[in-house]
Amino acid sequence: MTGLKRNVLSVICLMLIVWATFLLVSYIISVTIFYTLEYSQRNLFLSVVRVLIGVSIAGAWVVAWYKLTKIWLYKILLGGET
Amino acid sequence: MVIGSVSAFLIHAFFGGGVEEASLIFACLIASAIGLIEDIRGEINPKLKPLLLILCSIPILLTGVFIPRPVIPFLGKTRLYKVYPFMIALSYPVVCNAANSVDVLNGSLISMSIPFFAVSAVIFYLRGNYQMLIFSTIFLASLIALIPFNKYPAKTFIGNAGSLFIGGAMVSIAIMGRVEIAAIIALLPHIMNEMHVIFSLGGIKSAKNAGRRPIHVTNDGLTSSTDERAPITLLRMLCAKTRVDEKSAVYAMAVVAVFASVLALITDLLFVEGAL
Repeated sequence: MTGLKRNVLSVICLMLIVWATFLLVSYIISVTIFYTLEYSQRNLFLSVVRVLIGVSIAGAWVVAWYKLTKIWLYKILLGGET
Repeated sequence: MVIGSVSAFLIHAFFGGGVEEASLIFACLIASAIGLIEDIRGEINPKLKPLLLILCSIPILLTGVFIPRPVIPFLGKTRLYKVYPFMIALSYPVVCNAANSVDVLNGSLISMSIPFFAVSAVIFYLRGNYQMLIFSTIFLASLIALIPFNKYPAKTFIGNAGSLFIGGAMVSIAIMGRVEIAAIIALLPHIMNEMHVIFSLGGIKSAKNAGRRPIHVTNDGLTSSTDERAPITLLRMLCAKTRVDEKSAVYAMAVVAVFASVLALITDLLFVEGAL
């Protein structure tokens, strides 16, 4: 396999992991935090909490994605060259 | 591309269009105008540019051509009545800059944008949303028409005016067509590229001042920098430990974009359509 093909495959694998973690995070918050909030009495405070939790989780997912990409680039794609 | 798309929208509006066409095309034209200023006057302050791009959301917000209930996988239809307008305003700078950031090689943005519009057209067709199908197809057609001129070796460059126009079109299609999640997945390579550059530079800074280049260009082709202080980009990942010619690099970027679009379609079909 040529270097470019290997790299494309590797980036595709990274995309797949990022996509899977997106779905996993979405599933976990749907059965835990959001389930609890949706079935509580609706008020402004809970709406704000819901949004803040959503934004925090999305932010954590983005940071995790960056960390994973860094590992992917330096340990797998450029492994041993840095 | 801009003239072609606007003409097509005007023709469609003439035959019974309305506020949707107007808000979509104005959002794109504002983005394009900001890009044109950058093309003519040089790079806009990287902190000011996102603020200017927020202006693109005004036509959509004023005309109210959106439903603030995006469907998120497993969560279903969310109620984001207060937050959604802010999300619209923020999405324009994010996606426009992301589109701009992948416009690094001849034809790279065009070939990475076509899968997005193609997959959104498929989703609109499956939903029976023919108005949005027409909108997606107009952008798709204008991009396909540009390929012979923009592919390597390019005779025409779309510039910032073109790349921000495409970014504005992507966001507008995602919001008006209610394909937000599919759009995020289809644009993973674009967003990854932009986001990683921002993280690598430690904030919103001009990539030209990065000091260390992510890619080394030689007569034999492109190769990735091994310096850990250089920005992480999609192209750098694709060129790691190998020497790639520009044409193959664009082809590889397109393959990644096609894969992300397939994931977007799967996500929409399995997790979104049922909840709509």
